[in-house]
Amino acid sequence: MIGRVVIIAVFAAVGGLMVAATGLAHRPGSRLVPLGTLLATILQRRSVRIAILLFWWWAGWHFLVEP
Amino acid sequence: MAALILLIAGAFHFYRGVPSEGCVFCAVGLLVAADSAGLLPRPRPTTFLLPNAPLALGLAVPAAAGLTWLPPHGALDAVILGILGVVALGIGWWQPDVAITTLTPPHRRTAWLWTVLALALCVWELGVYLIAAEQGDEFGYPTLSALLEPAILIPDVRWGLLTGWLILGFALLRWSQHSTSADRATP
Repeated sequence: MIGRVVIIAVFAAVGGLMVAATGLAHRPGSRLVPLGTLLATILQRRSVRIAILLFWWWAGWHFLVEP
Repeated sequence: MAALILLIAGAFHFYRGVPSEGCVFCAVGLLVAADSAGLLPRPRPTTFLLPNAPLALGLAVPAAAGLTWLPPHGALDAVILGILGVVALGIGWWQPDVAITTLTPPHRRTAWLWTVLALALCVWELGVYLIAAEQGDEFGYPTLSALLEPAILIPDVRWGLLTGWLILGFALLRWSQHSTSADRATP
């Protein structure tokens, strides 16, 4: 049971850090760019675009279709 | 690098006993590798007309509602999502391939940060998956999939997640034509 709590806590912490990174990037004068801005740059490359699109598609497939 | 990541993901799908997904990832990985090596004919660059943010929302909400009311893990779901995947990857493939010549320091910092966060999530998920498989205890060692599955079975939650997933798909495709499209509205 302790293992379960720790595992969920780490997932939540990583999720929290992602939210914090998003928030930080949108602050005025930030040293980061918003994730959408970064994606708009790197998705120009076909190889990166196809890889990210495949992971996006798989996420939907995994949760909706895969038994 | 993108091809290598796809091939590693494909190998993992074989390891976890889903060869169909392993085949998809490895096939796409090999295609990307061949394309990067210049072994495939250059596709004629095409900039597709894609819905803007309000239209994407207007399409995603009813589409997600329709998918929500289909039985989960059903054949119709598989067909619809299969078609969506082929269409999205097709659009992604034929959109112009533009070399990324320079990344500004803020772009680099952001790329590193998100790479570390994504890797942390993947390594943790993989570690939990391996321990759960070894112990035979998915409840005590829940993967992200195991944690989200009960919520996904609730129709309203599934509707919301599917709407977000579809909008993200539209956004990825529109972001990928950011510098080539006349319509530069943020998705």
